[in-house]
Amino acid sequence: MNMFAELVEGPDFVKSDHLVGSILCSAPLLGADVWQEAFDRYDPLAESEPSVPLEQQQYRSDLRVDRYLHDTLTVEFELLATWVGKNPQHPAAAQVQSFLKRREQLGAPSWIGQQERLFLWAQKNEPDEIATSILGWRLLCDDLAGSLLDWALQQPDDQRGQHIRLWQQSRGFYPQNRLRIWALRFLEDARAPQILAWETAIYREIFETHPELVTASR
Amino acid sequence: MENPFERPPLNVSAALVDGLIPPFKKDYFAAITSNPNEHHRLLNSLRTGEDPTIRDGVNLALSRLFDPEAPKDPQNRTAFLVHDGTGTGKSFQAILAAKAIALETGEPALVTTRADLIPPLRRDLDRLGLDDSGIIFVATEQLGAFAKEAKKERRTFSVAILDEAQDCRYPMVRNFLDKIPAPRQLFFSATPFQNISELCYFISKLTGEPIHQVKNEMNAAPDVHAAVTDRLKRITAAGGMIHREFPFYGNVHPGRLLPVTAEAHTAETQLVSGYGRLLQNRDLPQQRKLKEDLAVELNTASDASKVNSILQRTLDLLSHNKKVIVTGDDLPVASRILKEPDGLPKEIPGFLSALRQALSGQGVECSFIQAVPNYSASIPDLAADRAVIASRNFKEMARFVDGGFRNNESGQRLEVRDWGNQPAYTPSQTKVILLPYQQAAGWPELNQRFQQAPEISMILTPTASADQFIQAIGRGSRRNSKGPTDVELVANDSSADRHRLGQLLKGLQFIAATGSPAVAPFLNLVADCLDRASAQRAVQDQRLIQLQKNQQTRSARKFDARRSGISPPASGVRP
Repeated sequence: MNMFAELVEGPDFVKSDHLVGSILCSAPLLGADVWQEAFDRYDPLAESEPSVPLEQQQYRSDLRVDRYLHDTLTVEFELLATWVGKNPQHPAAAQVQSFLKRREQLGAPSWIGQQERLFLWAQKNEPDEIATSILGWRLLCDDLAGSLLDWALQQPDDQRGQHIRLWQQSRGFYPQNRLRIWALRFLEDARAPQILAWETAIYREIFETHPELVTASR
Repeated sequence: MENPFERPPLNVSAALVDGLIPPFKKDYFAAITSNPNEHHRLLNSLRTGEDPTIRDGVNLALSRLFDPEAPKDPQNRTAFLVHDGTGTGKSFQAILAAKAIALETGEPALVTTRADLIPPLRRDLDRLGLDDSGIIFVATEQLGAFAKEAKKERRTFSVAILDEAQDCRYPMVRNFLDKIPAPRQLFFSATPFQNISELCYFISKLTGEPIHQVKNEMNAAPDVHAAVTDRLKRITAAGGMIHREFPFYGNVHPGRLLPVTAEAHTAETQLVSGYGRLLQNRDLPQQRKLKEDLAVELNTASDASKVNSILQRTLDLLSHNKKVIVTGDDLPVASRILKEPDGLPKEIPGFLSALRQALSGQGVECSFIQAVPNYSASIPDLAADRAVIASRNFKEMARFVDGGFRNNESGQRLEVRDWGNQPAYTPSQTKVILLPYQQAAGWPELNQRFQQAPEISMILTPTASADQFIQAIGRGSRRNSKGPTDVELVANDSSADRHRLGQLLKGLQFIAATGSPAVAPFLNLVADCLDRASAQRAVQDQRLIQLQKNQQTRSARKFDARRSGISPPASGVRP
């Protein structure tokens, strides 16, 4: 009996794609598919840096995708807020209002840049408890992002899978960045709440023990 | 032992499809002519010589790329993969293919590879007596910016050739390459795919099938290795790729299975159960990291128990005039579970550091390659630390390498050559090098490049990564090896080693499924080592269970005897 193997297998995160509510589809309301347009517009060559090694270019490209996804969700929130202001009696207005409540949680894009600081600090400060949490969080998000990508391949027509089109080839260096955007967009998916719960718990720990690690921008 | 590098490489593709590789339709190579100088002979020899590797590679690639019936990707591009092992002449093929395609189409060919590999490509061009007309060299690092400019200027190319195509593991490189306006893509790599995901990319390129379709097919396959072989077989039979490779040059000894002391077993059990307790009250992120930490602690503890044996073996090899490359991990730990007598966390040095100290205690100086910080290639803030270690490592490596080197005025490292322009032999300063798996790639000069140099012996500890393992083997058996390399794998029956061997075996099975003949002896080695480790552990576990049963029986007897108030007989079993 290999106790080590058993321990490593251990409990896992939620992998079910079960929906607890209906997903908001903004395209018919806005008359345009914000996400589709954003994906079509994305230019991978836009900020290529010829003097930088490939590994660093990939790292920066991952962060750029994260920021782009963040910006796109921000735009969708803004457009929907305008829409609901103009269409308060529309049958979809309540769902849109509910969706807009997630806006607060999205926070500023500086959250994305913050991950590097947290990661480097955690690497230096192992086996500190909070460092363990930060590094484990990233690993866990990487596992979940991989699982989500595999799932999306089998569900090419599902909106939740289409949403990760830009990260189909890379999970991102800090996969928590893109996962939280996906989770905020598709909170009705059974996999989403855990992503936000992990983040909340980690940040609570950081604020309690090392507030200097996070900026006030959040 | 015969040197396999003195013969043409094995044609893996031919073996895969029973010799039924589609013949090339035209000798495109024939159109390439060199400048009339002394290099003419090399080009002619490649064109008409006994070794058809380069000629066939170029002609097969071009036959496919110019075949109007060949599959095309959504951007209407045709692709071909030259999956040739190190030393088979990929660089020659890349520039000759570029030349031939440019001649055939009248449009320039774009050749891209990492910036530091462009000068060697240009030197190869010169060796063949060719100029760079019709070829545009672009560093892969600059490909994005170049593609942007090319688009702006509406330039087009006859082909985009990527040397070192394993760089396609970076999605960004795939994107950049696809932005080059060229109707053909030609890939060269010794290791184009290290896992299913990377393989799917190339299958998609070579067949024109959408990547998600290929991935789904692979994921659904009941036997993934059989599916990999079958896919490559079909692509090869259709003329989409070619694979040649040299076999391993050396001797692979049966794995050395070291005994594990009772104390080590106890420590392992303490670690696993201690981490089990730690995991109980933690959330998932902490659990995830703790599991990784447990693996590191177990690996380091397991490797620590090998230091003395490997020290003795190294001394033995040195006494037989061998040079020794020891490859392993170097991950020091301060245990979360095990304590020193004073209550502080038990500290275990990394395996290579401990071995270095032990060797030093025996008066043996060695070259020590230090692991660079994790992710330092990616994170710009760690680049400076990485550069310092890399520079130190380079000096350490130079002490182990045979041959003389000097720096020219611009600081470039040049090999000292004799009157016949051959590298001049000078014995190395150190005879032992300690190489972490993390740094196993590169170092092309570590092998036995000189006939008169001592033979190389490699001692490896288990690693979970097949890629790193094969990279490490590549430090010994290389195209320019003048002597065989002895390989020894040293393991024990600890959980850590059985786990690593299991992972390593899976990785090697994948490489074997892609047809690599060089991996075969290592597949057998690892499978055998794992079997023996598992069997040895099972016997020990049985012995332990029996011991526990005996102890329970004794306790029960003792208990019963006390309960019954009868003293055990003097001749009876001692409690």
